[in-house]
Amino acid sequence: MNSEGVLVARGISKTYPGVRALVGVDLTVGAGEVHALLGENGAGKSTLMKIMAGSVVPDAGELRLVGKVIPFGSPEAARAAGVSIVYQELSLVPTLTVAENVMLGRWPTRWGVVAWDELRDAAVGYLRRVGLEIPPETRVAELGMAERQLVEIAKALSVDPVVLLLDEPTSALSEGEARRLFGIIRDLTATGVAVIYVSHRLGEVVQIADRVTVLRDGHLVATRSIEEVTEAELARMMVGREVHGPRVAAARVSSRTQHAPALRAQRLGRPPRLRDIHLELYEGEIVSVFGLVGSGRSELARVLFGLDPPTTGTLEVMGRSVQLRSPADAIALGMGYVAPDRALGVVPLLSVAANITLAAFSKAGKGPFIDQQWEEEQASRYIEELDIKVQSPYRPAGGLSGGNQQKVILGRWLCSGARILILDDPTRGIDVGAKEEVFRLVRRLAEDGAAVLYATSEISEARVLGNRILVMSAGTIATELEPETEEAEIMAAAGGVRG
Amino acid sequence: MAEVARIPLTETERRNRFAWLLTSAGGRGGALLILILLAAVFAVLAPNFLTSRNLLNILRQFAVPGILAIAQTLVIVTAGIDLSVAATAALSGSLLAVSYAHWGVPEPVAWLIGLGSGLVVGAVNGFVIRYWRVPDIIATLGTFSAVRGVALLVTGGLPAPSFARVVEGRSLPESVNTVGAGSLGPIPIIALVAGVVALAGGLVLRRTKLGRAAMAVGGNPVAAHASGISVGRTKFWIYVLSGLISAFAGILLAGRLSSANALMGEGMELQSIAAVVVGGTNLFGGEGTVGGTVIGILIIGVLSNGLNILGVAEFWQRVSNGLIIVAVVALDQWRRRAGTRGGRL
Ligand SMILES: Nc1ncnc2c1ncn2[C@@H]1O[C@H](COP(=O)(O)OP(=O)(O)OP(=O)(O)O)[C@@H](O)[C@H]1O
Ligand SMILES: [Mg+2]
Repeated sequence: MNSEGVLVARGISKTYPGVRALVGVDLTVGAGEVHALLGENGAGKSTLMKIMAGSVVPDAGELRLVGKVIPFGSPEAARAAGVSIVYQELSLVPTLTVAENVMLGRWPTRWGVVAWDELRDAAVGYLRRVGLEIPPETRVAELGMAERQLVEIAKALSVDPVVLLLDEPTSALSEGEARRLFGIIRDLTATGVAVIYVSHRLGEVVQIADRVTVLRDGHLVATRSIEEVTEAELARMMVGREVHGPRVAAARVSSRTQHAPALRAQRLGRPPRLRDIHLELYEGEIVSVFGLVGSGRSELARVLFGLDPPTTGTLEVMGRSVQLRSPADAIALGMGYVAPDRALGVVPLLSVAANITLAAFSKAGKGPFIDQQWEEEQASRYIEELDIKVQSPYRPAGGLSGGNQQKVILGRWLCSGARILILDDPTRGIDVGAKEEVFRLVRRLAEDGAAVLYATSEISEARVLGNRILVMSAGTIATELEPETEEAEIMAAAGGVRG
Repeated sequence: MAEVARIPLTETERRNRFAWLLTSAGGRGGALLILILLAAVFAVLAPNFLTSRNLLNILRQFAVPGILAIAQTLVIVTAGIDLSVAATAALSGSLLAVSYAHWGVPEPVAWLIGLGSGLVVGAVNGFVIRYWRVPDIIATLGTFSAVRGVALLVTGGLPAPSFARVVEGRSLPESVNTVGAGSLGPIPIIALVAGVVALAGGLVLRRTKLGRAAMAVGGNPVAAHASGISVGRTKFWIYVLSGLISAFAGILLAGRLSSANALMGEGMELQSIAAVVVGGTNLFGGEGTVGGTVIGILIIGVLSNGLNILGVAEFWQRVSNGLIIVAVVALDQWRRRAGTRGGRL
């Protein structure tokens, strides 16, 4: 087709106050090509994607689509030219239905009123394509993260894009759903659509991409054909040093101590999404919870932390029977929780320091005041320990890259001294280097005696981290497996929900 | 690691020098600059403007609306809004005057009754919002009306103290007259008191657990909840505090006017909201500074005073007041966009 490339970006630069997010980056993507964009947290990937979609204005550079210059800063112009984007932070309207969201801004009308049948039918077509079998009149607010992500993708497909920008589309998806997305991507590229694909999952990138561009601190490191590089090389290019990926397991922490379990659930549930949970979590151990979308994995985490208080069964913490009515109760019992969606954890306008100490007010000094010096100490300590990239602890947390925001939330629970950690996909959207740190951190916490429940949609993480794996399906724990179990077997155990 | 070193100005930043200038003065630069500009204009146009007498007069006049605006700031930070601040002030001033002069209670008791009424109104607002889940603007619209009604009932619609009903020659308590109308040297005590309230409000917002919780609740209620902060409880106490501060402002107002009446301070609730917004606080919550609010109320004060001196008719003043508020906020929005061009979707 066009030898010049369907989409050509030249010399794109963008500076935020104090941060050079992009410095003279070039990118050329050909028709029918899947072009992966890689880089550490904060490397500038999302910024570049947003510039191409018209939602962020760069300081310099030029963008051409099929040879024509596209004006910057106009999402409408970009869309009209055929650029469609799935943002890293989801952008659905929670109060509208799935169908309304998929067709947002393009609702079919008949005699000036919305033609609901047509709207519905059109939406259902795109939903099928992404493999989402939910009633199109469901409100988005009722959906889980993965389902929302799929709706978002359906929405992006519904404009018949020339260039499709996907910013970490699989971070909330299970492997099965991701495979399905790859199928869709291959169909699209076969018809000449160009796809730019941001992901931290290198395995996936090697599978799907034709070429790959690596960014580091806003600079372009290299653009390579995928045959030329290995996963390890990519990781090295991103981080600028040798990385040992999650597959190199450290010594597993010792399992079950003699004590009473830190957490024990009996017939715990919150029907209809969660029922009949029997669970024992000991100090010093990591228990992985693996499940596909809709298996109740996230719901279990929410129920155990009191976000959705349990309605049936009993819960014991450190041998004491307890009632959880709110997260405040759970925190008082020494629990902490990391949500898969950072937007639910970070208070963007508050400083990084304030975000880190947010759950530790009880330790923030006597009386009504927050001890400034204590706050500063805590903030610097965890910023250093977790290697959070921020100029000053007093910068608003909302300006941090996704991965760094997630680290801030982890820091919050370290700061509050939580002994029981409920982590729901905490590495979602975190780069390989940071992931390694998170793994190391989780292990160290367990070695120090914390009890960790690690819910994940990635089998490899479940196997590498867990002392044992609980597999969830249809709202309850289907089985308990050894971490040595083959991936296929784990997947089969989790597959019950689809059957 | 990320580049932290000093970064030279980019093209856009250079082009936005002016915006940068506005941003620079502690973030509230925009409002502060406008205040200075406005004062300069009046200093040139109206020879009597820049006299210490006149400037002190502005402080005296706008101390009470300023204190109400500080209460308002605390509420708006939680993404709430308190339409009842001025009504609460009127009720508190009236109750103090009536209870002391008509009923003959001792002075400290009269103070307690006045301040207590503010606590009650705040608690009612907080309760209705927290437990009945009434939106903030509706709940306080209710008290906005009801509280004035109670004040009218208490005073019988007459200024208090009123001659017919006073006990044995009582009028307002001496302490109220002093803080409301007295001076310390040339400085009106009421302005000093307002300054202290502003400092205290700033302290609450920046340094206390309640202030921090308020910011979190306003900025991201889901995250606040997941961090163990009770959204309902935080808002409740913020409204109680707002009621208390408003009640205090009402007592000062009675002192300044040498009498209280049920309708005093009308329109000050809107003035307080305007001051908060002009001061750069986000109406959608999660951020805000008392310093900005102080600048905001000073802008409003200087404007109204300057126009008065210039002899602009009251009707026109209302028009220009409205225009200025919108213009300042529009400028602030533009400044923010220029500062972080693009930003999040
Ligand atoms: N609106 C903003 N205001 C200020 N700084 C920002 C803003 N958006 C991004 N940045 C900064 O720009 C840099 C690049 O951010 P970007 O979101 O593009 O990173 P990313 O590569 O997508 O990272 P991640 O993998 O964590 O999503 C980061 O240092 C980030 O802090
Ligand atoms: Mg990103």
